[in-house]
Amino acid sequence: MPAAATELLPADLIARLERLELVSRRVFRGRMKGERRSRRKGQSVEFADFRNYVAGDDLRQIDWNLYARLDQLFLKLFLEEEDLHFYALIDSSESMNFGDPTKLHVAKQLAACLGYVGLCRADRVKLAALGPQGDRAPVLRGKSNLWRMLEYLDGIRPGDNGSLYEDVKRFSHRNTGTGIVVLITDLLDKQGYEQALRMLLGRRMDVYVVHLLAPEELEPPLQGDLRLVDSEDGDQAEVTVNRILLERYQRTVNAFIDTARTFCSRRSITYLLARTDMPVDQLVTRYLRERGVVR
Amino acid sequence: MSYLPALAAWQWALLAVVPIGIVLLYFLKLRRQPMVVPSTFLWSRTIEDLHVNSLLQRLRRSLLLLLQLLVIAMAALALLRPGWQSSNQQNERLVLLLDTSASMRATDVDEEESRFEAAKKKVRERIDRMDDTDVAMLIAFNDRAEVLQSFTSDRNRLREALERARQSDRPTDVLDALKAAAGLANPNRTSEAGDAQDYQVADAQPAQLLIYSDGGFPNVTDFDLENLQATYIPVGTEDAANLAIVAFSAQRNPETPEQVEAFARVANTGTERQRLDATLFMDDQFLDAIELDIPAGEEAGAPFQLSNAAAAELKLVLNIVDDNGRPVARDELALDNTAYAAIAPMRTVSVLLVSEGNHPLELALQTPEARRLCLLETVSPAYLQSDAYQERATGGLDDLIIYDRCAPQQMPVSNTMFIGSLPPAGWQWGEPTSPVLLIDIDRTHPLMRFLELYSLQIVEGRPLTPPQGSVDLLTADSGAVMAVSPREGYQDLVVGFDILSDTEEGMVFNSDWPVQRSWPVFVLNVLRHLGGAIDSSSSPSYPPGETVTMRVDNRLKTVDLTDPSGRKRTLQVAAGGTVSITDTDQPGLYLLSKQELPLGVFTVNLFDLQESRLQRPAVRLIGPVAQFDTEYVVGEAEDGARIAEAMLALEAGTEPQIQAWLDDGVVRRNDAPIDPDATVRSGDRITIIDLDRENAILRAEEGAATVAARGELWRWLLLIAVGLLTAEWVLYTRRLM
Repeated sequence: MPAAATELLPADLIARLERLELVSRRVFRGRMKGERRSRRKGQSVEFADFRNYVAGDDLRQIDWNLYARLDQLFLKLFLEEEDLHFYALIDSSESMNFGDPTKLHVAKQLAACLGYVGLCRADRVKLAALGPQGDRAPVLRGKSNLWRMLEYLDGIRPGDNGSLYEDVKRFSHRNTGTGIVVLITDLLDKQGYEQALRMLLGRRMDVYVVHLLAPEELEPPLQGDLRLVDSEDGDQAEVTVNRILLERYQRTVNAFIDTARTFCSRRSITYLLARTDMPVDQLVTRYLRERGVVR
Repeated sequence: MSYLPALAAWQWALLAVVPIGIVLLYFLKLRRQPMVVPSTFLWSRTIEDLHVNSLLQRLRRSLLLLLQLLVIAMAALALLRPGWQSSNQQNERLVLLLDTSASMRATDVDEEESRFEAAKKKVRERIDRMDDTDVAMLIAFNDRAEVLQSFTSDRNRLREALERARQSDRPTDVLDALKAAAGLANPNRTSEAGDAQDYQVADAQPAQLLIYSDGGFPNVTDFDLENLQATYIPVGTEDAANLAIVAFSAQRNPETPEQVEAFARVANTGTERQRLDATLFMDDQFLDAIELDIPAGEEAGAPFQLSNAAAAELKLVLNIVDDNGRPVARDELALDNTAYAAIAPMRTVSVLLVSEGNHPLELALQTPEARRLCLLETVSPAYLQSDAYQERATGGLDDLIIYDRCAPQQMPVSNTMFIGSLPPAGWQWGEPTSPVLLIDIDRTHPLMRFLELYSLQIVEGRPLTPPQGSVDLLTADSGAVMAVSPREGYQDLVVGFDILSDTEEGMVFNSDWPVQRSWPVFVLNVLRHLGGAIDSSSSPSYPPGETVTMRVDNRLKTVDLTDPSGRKRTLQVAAGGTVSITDTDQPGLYLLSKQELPLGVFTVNLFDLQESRLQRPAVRLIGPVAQFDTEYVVGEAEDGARIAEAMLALEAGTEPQIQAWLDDGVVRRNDAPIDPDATVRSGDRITIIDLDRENAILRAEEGAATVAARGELWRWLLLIAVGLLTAEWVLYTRRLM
């Protein structure tokens, strides 16, 4: 196991992740037969219903016993079991490269955990960075692809400072399937995150937003006369940090989080606020579980 | 608006650097520390509402800079001292003169304890009437002036200064106080001429001079008050009665030294005849009493005879009240009812005679009377070269050294007498003349008392040219032949002719003085006055407050002084054996001693008829003050006439006018009120007081002089600067908190 992989996904965590599965509040059409019951009727051992035969139906599904008794053709319908499309979108902008560990690192760990859960359940898993780095993201299925997945994650570098909306749009164009989307981001986009989330909803995705914030952003350890430089666009803000300003900042952060939470809950998006100083195993096995992302 | 810059050019330049420095520091401070954050998104939103508009924001950013620059600007402006010529800033400038002399102790005022308290009350009332813009100065005066408070508008400080004023027992000299007031109120030039740094010349400003006094001082007519407007505010009554001891002395009889004659003069300064007893105490023991009957305005003598060989303290007391405490005579001033004198044991003076042999002189120094006074030692001129002499001369061991036809190298530290020789410095004499014809004798000098010298024959003498400040005692046709000159506290007597001359035939008389009766008297005078014997035989009396100089044995370093209250002080003896005693305000007996051994005694007594004369004069002339009154002098023709008739004869006015004046009580005889039926004597001064005088005083008190004053802004500017500084501090701490 490569060092980077161990860092992203420790062995003891892997064992615990295998017992979990991803939860979708919707039932999606899969492309391949999977482990999930689908609304679609199809081939499985579980009976679902009968219906009249219409021309063109598969003759193999006709219930010949009924035909013998009633002299009418009925089709015996079984519940179809399908796979799940799971996407994890990692914001790899420069702002994610903050905190200790960095937000990006935590995002990768989260994505790896969720991806591994998906792989274990034979879901169709695609972990992708937002922006150009997402183009070469592999679509994975099966536990055997864990290393590929980790390899890709390890390769994600911060610096794709595009707007969230553009990046989500790019992703949506390339990935037409529906399923679960976990967007791991700090939502710190000056053009706003609302449009991006609306775009995902419009694609009939089951959207989860993991809002990652570093403690340095929640309680900034700053004091005195400073020129704050934006890491992404180099924008500068001159501030004299004092108690009053810090209190005001606190209120702004709280308002920002509240706005995001309200926006998401109104649109059936599951909003999760995660701090980077929370251990990842706890984050996944307890926090995400409590909030119904996995079970 | 005018400016009075308070700094020099280079100081201004230094001040100009300060704002530049502040701006530079501000820009240095503006280079904020850059800090990379994930996103300024939240920060921008945080400070968004602070950016109401960019101008205010920019102002806010540089508010501290602005405040600092404003503080400096205010300070600079304050240093420029901007002001304007305002006309109504100070309404009045008052100079309050408070009399603290002995006569102010008189108790002839109704409500108050004494005239002094009454005057203080009047001053206090005047201070209370002061405006906020009025300024006043308070001077207390007796025979000297003391500025208790210089010009101030602070009434509390004036009141405190007034409380500090103390009643004294000194006589009055208003001239000193007037000079002080005029000097402070008329500063002709306070700056040094030619001093470029000193540019503030105070203008002479008119001021009101208010004299709170009982008028116990002579008219001051030869004093220029310049722009002082003087007003005399009288305290006390015009008919105060007083009995005063104006002289008291005790002297040993020169014939019989154990006999002491004490003599006092008692004055009745009131308007009624007074009868009373005077009691003499010796060492606080009753000794004698005498009954006195003194007509109004006259004096009576009180002689006492007593015998005492030793030292004694004498006290004379006027018995104003009888044994039951009832007053027997009217007396408003207690201070002058007691007088002190002292008699001391005779002291011997030590005399060194340096002579080849002068029999007449030695004989005169050996008379029984002279022997009682002096201890004589005769040495030859060769002794002058010895170490023993040097020690005596520099140590001042002798009271008097007589150099007969010889002179020392250096003057000794004692009084000297030179016969036929000159002191080594300062004196010159001319060629010998013969014969010497005497033309003038200074009989007033103590050395020449009781001398009859016109029959004196002198064969040869040399005219003297004494140093400055000396007194010619004996003047001949060729010039002064005997003179006495002061020298650093000592006196040198030089006789310009020999008594005995050395000739080829031997010693011959140069003068017939030794065979005249005046010779031993002269030698005795020399011993008494030049040797200092007189000092010890009677005790001198000084007025209160005078600096007293006493001579003691010059081997002493310190002596003890016991003052009348029994307090003991140690005084330093100056070189030559003089002791200066300054703290002599209290009347009574002062005793100098060393280890309980009495060295000398002197007394302090008021003995001032002017001070004891308590009738408040109606008017006092001080420069231009109160010259409203008309005065007439009664001539021979009106002698003995009734006052009204005399005034009519003097054409003072018409009969009804004169009657009205007399009824109104505005007529004064010799500055005292007069009964309408009284008669006048030739030479009496009759004064008709101008009724407007009182009004004039009142007008002077109420009136306000308008004085050009300078309104100043610098206090306000400094206050603003301090306010700005506070605002800056608050802003600064708010930014960081």
